[in-house]
Amino acid sequence: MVRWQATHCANTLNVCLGHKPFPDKFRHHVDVMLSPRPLLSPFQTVVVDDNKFGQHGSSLSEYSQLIWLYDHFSKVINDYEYVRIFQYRRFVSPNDIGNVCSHPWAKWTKARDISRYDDAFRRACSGEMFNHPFGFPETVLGQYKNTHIEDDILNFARFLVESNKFSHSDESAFLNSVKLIPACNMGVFKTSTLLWLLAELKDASQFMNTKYFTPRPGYQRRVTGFLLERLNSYLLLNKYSGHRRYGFHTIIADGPNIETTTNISG
Amino acid sequence: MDNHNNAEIHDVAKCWSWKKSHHSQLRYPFRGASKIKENYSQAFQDLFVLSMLDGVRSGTYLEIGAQEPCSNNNTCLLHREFGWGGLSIELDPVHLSTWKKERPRSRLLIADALSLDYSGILSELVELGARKSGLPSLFSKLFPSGQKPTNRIDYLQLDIDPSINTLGVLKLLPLSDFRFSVITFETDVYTGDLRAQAESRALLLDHGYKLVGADVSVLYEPVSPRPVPFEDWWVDPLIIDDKKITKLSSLAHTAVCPQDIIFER
Repeated sequence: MVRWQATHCANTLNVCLGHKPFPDKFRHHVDVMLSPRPLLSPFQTVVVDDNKFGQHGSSLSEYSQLIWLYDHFSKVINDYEYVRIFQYRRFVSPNDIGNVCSHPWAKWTKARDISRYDDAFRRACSGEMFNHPFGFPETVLGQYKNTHIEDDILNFARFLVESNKFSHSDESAFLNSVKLIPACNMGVFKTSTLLWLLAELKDASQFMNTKYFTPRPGYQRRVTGFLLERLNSYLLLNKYSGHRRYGFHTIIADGPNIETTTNISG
Repeated sequence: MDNHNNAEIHDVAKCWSWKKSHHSQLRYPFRGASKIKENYSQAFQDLFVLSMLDGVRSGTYLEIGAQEPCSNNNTCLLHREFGWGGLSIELDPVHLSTWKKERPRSRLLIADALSLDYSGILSELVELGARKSGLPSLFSKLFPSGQKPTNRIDYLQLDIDPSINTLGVLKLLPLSDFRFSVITFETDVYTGDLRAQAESRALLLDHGYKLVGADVSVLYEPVSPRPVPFEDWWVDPLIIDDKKITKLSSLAHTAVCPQDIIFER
């Protein structure tokens, strides 16, 4: 097995996102938990209330926690060189582990087996790592349309253009992308990369406060989060030139049939 | 009384932190006191909690307005030397790194204490307390028949700024469903704002708590070279010995220094 290249010096802060805690037996992997609600299992939890982000804050989904991280970056990150982000039921592994599951871009493992994957949570890192990009049979636009509401991504792209965040060629490249990084807000980021990325995403999240945004009920309520996730992936694949390696999207589950929360993050 | 004892008593009255020799002067000596090397509270709140609860081990706390993990902290001694666990709530994430470094195995919640639903938090804390190891607890002594009262937290600290917000948190707590054996409530009456003191006293008295340290003072030199009244100390008479309550209540006619409560003078 190829081991993830690591330094001996702890230089990485492990940040977990989720409305539920990381498996209790492995909470030592979590330095800080960012959660929309109080959790007592992790030793250090930050409660990020969606309401802090205005009337449509709940549409941000987990990006409310990430924007909070951006807003408090220096207080939380301090002198760390890297930030590893994972979620209560998924992480990026440097090695291809686990078993085939209902998501072709991921594999699954039981919680009890996390003890075998310490490398995926090592606090001494020497490079960046994101999930392997996945080639979808359709463009981002087509793929979004199948699971969500087409108007939302078109309006989002228009907002990005009209607020000078995107050129027309960016808009086209974004909507016609055929590759996405699944669960792209997870991975090992240099602090400078994460700061850049979150600044871009926070800027784009203003979409929810404009005429371009339509609040949605039910599952589509998290529309801004779905859209930021696509933008997050696009920025990492197309606007970031730093050296990175790709790891393996691993889902903690009881079996191969993964309950879907979003169509590309599983 | 010889000169040596006089000097020690004089020393206790002036001293704002624990010295190992102080254990012999405790008003209510408790097991483990002689092993305490240092305390961390600003005004002996940690020693007050232990004095009231007979030095109970493995207790549970809810600390609202935690700030630093050790400096001027009321739960550090309980956690480090007496095996307590619980939850500390703090608004400012700047404290995350020091908690990670100095108290990595204490639970810290960075949150706005005025926006939380305490019913769920307290239920989880009670459950955590019940799951603790089988170390002897105060309850087993008080309730040998196994009639351990449920929904009890051993210590509640309420201290966020300004004091009107501390009152706001007290009003959010489900006081009819959960009991706290010892409570310290920061009133900051030295600021001249008496609203939090008045309302908190009415609320806690209404729920059957006893005020055993009224207007406890602290040395806060930015405000005054002399101790200033800043906190009320409460106990639950369902748990704390009547004799302690009667004695301490007799001391509480006027603002008192914490040393007056903790030590026999």
